[in-house]
Amino acid sequence: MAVEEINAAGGIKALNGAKIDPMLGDAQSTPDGGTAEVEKMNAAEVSCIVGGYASSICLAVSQAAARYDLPYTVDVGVADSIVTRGLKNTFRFGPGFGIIAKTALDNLATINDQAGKPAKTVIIVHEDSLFGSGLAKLLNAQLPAKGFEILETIPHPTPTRDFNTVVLKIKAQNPDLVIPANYYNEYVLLARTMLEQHVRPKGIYSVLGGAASSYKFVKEFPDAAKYIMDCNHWFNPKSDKAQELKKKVEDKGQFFTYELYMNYNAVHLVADALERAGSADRAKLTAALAASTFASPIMPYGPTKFVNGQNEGAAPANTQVLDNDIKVILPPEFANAKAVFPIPA
Amino acid sequence: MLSPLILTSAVLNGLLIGAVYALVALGLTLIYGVLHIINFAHGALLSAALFAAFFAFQKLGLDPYLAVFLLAPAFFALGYALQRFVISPASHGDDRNMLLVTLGLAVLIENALLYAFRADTRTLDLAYGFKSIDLGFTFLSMPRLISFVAVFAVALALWLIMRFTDTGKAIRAVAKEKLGAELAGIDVAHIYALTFGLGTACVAIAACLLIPSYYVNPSAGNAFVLIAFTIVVLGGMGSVPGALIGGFVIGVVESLSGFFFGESLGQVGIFLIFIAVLLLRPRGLFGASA
Amino acid sequence: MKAFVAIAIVVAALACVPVFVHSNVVLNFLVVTLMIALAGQGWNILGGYGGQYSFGHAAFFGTGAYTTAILQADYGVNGWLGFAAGIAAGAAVGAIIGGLAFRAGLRSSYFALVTLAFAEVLRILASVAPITGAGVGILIKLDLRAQAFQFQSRAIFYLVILALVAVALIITQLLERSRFGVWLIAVRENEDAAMALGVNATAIKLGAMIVSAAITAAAGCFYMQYFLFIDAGLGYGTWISIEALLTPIIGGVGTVFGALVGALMVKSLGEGAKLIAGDAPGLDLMIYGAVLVLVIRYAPRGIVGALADIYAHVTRRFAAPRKPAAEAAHG
Repeated sequence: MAVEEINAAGGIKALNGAKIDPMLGDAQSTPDGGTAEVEKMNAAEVSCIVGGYASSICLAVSQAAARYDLPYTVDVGVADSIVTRGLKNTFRFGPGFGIIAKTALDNLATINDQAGKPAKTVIIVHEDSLFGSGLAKLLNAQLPAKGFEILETIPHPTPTRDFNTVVLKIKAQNPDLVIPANYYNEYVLLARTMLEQHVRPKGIYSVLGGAASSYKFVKEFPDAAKYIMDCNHWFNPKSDKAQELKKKVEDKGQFFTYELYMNYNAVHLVADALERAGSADRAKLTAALAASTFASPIMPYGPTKFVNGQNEGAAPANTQVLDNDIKVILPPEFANAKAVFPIPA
Repeated sequence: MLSPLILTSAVLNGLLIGAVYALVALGLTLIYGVLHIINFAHGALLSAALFAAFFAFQKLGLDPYLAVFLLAPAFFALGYALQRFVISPASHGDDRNMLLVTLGLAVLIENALLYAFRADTRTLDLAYGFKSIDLGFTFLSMPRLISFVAVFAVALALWLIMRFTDTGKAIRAVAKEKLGAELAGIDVAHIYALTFGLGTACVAIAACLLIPSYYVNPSAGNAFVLIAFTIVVLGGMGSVPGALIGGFVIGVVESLSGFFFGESLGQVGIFLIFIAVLLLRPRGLFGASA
Repeated sequence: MKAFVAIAIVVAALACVPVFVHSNVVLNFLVVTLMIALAGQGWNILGGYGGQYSFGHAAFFGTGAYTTAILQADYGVNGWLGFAAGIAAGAAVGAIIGGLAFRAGLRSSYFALVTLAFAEVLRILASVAPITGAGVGILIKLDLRAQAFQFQSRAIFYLVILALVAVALIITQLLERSRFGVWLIAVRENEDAAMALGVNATAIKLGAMIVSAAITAAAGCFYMQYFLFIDAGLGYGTWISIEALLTPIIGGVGTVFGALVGALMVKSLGEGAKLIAGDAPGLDLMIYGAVLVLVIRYAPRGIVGALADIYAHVTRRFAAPRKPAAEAAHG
């Protein structure tokens, strides 16, 4: 979509209206698949690579691209290790683990304070690979400092067939908050099982929740999704451009998911860098990316500034499922609803 | 946390999920008992059946509990055809080849589903999907309870077929003594295919009972395969009561070990039991001597 | 002697590839293909020559990869030493699994299942244990020096894996010729008969398992050096167990070149499928599954076996006519 827009608007003006020619590659969810695609793209002399969902793929792709000084912009992968290896070619416009976890915790404390501090005890449920474990570690380190008591951290494999045991543990310890960090399927099963077992903590607060800020989930299981909060990649609901994009996607019968707009941003970031570099040369493009101040019209970010490849202005947003829709509750300048916490009995 | 009520809940949960496992394992044990092969395509067939149940609801408006009556015979036919026209000719009678052929089929079926339907997860939101029975200290999910009852019905039906019908007796004869059965005039190829068909029909039944509380995607069946193998080995390859009891035992073990050791580590417990049974008592609880 | 010449020719021919081919796309493809071939060569020793079909060779691949990863990342051990340690660790795991399984007399389906179970146990343990980085996996620092067993040029990686494949080819050939090999094949053909003839089947199978595990572990160590990242799913996942058995089965089970031929064939098919299928996910794997079934159906001895059959058929055709003519002459 981003490519369509850019090309329709006249291409890269600095390059005399050169159109962006996208080359698609499917990493097939494996690092060696990703590496093979990078090789092909390098051979096809692309100027830049955009993409990467699973962090392990991002690691492989950034490394393979670094061999050729090929600039690489991550769109979704959140692991910190992606940008902390000293690779000069890797850029990430969106936020990484570190900032997401920190923001999530700060916002949790804010929400809790604003409601009169009803929550103190927490249970974390996370999936046991790079994403979930990394997050759980950060949460364990930082939650107590904010005055929360972690009753238990429950890891589970992906896939997990049944969450009854996990929910039983939650029920037995009756925490004020449940913090899930897992992928879509497991998140849905967990939420459903909690509904089934009538387990109603004061809040369900996810960090990068797999389904928590997913329109698909809200549509398919409205009862299980009600009031769930998430701190995740999200668009700025007050942005007209964002709403316009959302409508365009939904008119096609699809869901406006973060993969979509994260990728949208990444492509525009590169297009902007191409304009400023005035050339498709990789080294110039890399320099332009490093100095970029491209501000995405649709994201709730601060001013763009790349340090070691990470955009320091990037930040997640806090959302909550209210009125069968997903609303932003924090930060206040982008919010379009007030948090409902604790969950009404 | 270790109150008796909580433990009872864990055990009850284990029994309910165990019923689903048993359903998946019943088909597998039947196939092993007669054909003496581990059907590696079982998981992929389960995924296919889940998709079938999903579309039966979406396109035909059939509730899964009704769709069962359509899908069980359909998958019986599919299983029959697979064994008669693909697996048997491909294997040239060698056990090891059969293993590979079923593995090849597993990869083929799972990826055919992926190719046709993509990897997106689909679910059915049924009216009774979230209903549960309140026992005071815990809630028992309605769909799971129905599966629990159903597995006994299916096991009973299988047992009756094996015991009292001519076909059943032929199946048992082939399982026990193939050459003798052949000499007695039984069409072994037909019996093999019939058994495979029955096993696949069981998978279809399991899928219909599972779908109200689970989800559908090309690898959904895989999650149940290793557990099904464990149950078959534990209960004794070829034993229907073994699969039933094995299913419940594994379900409870999984629930309790998940409770005490965590979900991830709990799974290791199951495999360790699996390995221990294979090494120490390969015929399982009720199986015939290997 | 002739057989070793064949190996030398094949390896020399393959070694010349980087001279003519500079495309990193192709070199990368070849490196991965040869790595899979190596894993398959390991499987072939136990499965092809020994007839014991393991469905859990990932256990050795992952052990090799993790051992070298942990030694390098946590203890600063040199990459080459890590490589050697990884192979030893893989062999040790092979000894344990083989010892347990063969002592218990497990065969056929049961053996396949128990190897599958062991691989799964290792995968789960690797995904929770702190030493393997649990869910996060292990990342080795980028350090492009030969001493660290990392190379800037893909061509060098290619030559290294080719050397490893060559060693495995030689080991396989030596095994085929040796008394150990003869006993192993006897066990494959009919274990009970072999035992009746005095062959210590358990010891033979165990020996084959250890060699098999060591070779596949070497492939795992190489994976680590090439991709610098490992996690439980990559190291111990079923994908590698399946690829390790797919390649020799398709190429020619129980033959020296089987795994190599099979890997080239399967990977090329995969690339070809991607070209045809374009973006459609799953098509290339569908083809893998279909090819496996078709090969078992029509060419159960794999490509090499089929070629050998054709060769024998052709030579027989040309040898035959003389006899009847001579007999006709005699009247």
